[in-house]
Amino acid sequence: MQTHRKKRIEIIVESAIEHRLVAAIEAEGASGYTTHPVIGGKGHHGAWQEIGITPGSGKLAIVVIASPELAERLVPKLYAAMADYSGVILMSDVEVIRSAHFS
Amino acid sequence: MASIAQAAAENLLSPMVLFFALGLAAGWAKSDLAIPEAIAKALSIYLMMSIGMKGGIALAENGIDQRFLLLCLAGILLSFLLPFLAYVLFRRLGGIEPVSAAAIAAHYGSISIVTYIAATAYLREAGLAFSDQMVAIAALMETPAIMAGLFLAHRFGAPAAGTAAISANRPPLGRMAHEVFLNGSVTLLIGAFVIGWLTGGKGGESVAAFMFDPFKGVLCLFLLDMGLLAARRLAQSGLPRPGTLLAGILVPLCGAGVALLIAALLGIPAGNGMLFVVLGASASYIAVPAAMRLALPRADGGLAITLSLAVTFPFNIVLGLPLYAAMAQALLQP
Repeated sequence: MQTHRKKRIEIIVESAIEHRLVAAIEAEGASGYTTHPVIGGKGHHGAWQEIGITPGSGKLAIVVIASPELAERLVPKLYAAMADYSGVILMSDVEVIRSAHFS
Repeated sequence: MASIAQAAAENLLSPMVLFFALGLAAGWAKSDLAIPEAIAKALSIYLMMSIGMKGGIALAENGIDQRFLLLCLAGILLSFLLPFLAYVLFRRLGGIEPVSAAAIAAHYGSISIVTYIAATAYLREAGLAFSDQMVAIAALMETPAIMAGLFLAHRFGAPAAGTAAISANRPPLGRMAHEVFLNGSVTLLIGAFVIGWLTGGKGGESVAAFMFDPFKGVLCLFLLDMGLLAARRLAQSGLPRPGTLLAGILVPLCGAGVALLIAALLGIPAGNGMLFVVLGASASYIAVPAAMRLALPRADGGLAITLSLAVTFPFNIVLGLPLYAAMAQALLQP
C-alpha cells in the first residue's frame, strides 16, 4: 500500500495554555490535531502528577500531523507560545495512508 | 482559653477532621487509596450546588439589609488588600522572589470555598447561628485578590536586563477573565445561588433530601480526598522552607485578625463574623492558581499550591476553625 511521508509533532505542555497552542496550529493552517490526556511524569522541572481539583494545573499532549513545510513553519510558533511554560515539543517522521487528510 | 482547647479537641474528633486526617495519613503512607478524579469533581460540584442554593434561599427568606451590603463591600476590599500584607510577609519571612511572592499573595487574598463549607458545618455542630447567604461574600472575595497579585507582580517584578518582566507573552486578559469569572465552581456557585433565591424555601424543601441532607457525609468524603491530595502534594514538592512555612501560617492568622476587626466595626454577629474571619484566613487553590498560571508563568505556581493546599488548608481545618470561632465569640455580639 502506498504511504506518504509526513511530520508528526507532539507537544506535551501545561493545559493552562492549550488554547494558545491550538490557536497557533489553526493559524498556520494545519488540517487537524488530536489532544491526549497525560497523567504524570518526570522531567526538567522535576516529577509532576495530575492533581485533580485544580484546573489548569495539569498537562496534556497535542499531536499534529503536518507536511514537512508546514511543520517547519509551525514549530517556531509553538516554541514561542510555550515560552515560560514547562513542556516539550517532539518532531518525528511518520507515514500516513490518506495524504489528503493532512495539510 | 480552656474553652478554646476544648473546642479544638472536639473539632479534632469530628468526622470531618478525622476523615481529612485519614486522607493525610493514607497519602503520607503511600496507600493506594484514591478517590477517582471524576468522583472528586462530582463531589465538589455537589458541595458548591448545595451551598450556593442554601445561600440563595436564605437571601430570599431574609432579604438584604444594609449591614450585609456593607460586609459585601468590606469583603471585596479585604480580598484586594490582603495580598499586599501577604506579599510583604512572604518576601520577608520566606525570602521568595517578587513575582512568585505576588502570585502566592493573590492565593491568600482569595478564599477557599471548601474551608468556608467546613466552617458552616463546624458552626452547625457548635450550635452557633449564622446566615447561609454569607456564601455570596465568599463568591465576591474570589477575584479582587487576583488584580492585587497582578499589580504587585508588575510593580515589583523588576525586569532582568533585556527580558520581559513577567512573561514573554502578553498576559491574556480576556482569557484570564474567562478563567476567573466562568470557572466551573464560580459559575455553579452563583448559578445555584440565583436558583435558590428564585425558588425560595419551597424550592429548597422539594430538593432537600438530595441537596441538603447528605451534605455532611459528602463533605467527609471530599475532605478525605483533600487529605490525600495535600499529602501527595507534600510528597511531590517537599515541605517549604521554615520561613515560608511560617508565613503560610501567619498570613491566614493576620487575615483572620483583620477580618475580625472589620466584623466588630460593622457589628456583625458571631456566627456570620466567624465565617467572615474564615474567608479572610483561607487561601484559594482553585480559581487563583489557574489565573496566575496564565498571567504570571514565571511565578512558582507549585509552591503556591503547596502552601495553600498542604499548609494553610490543613491548618485552617484542624486548628483554625475552633480558634476563629472562639475569637468571634469573644469579640462579637452573639
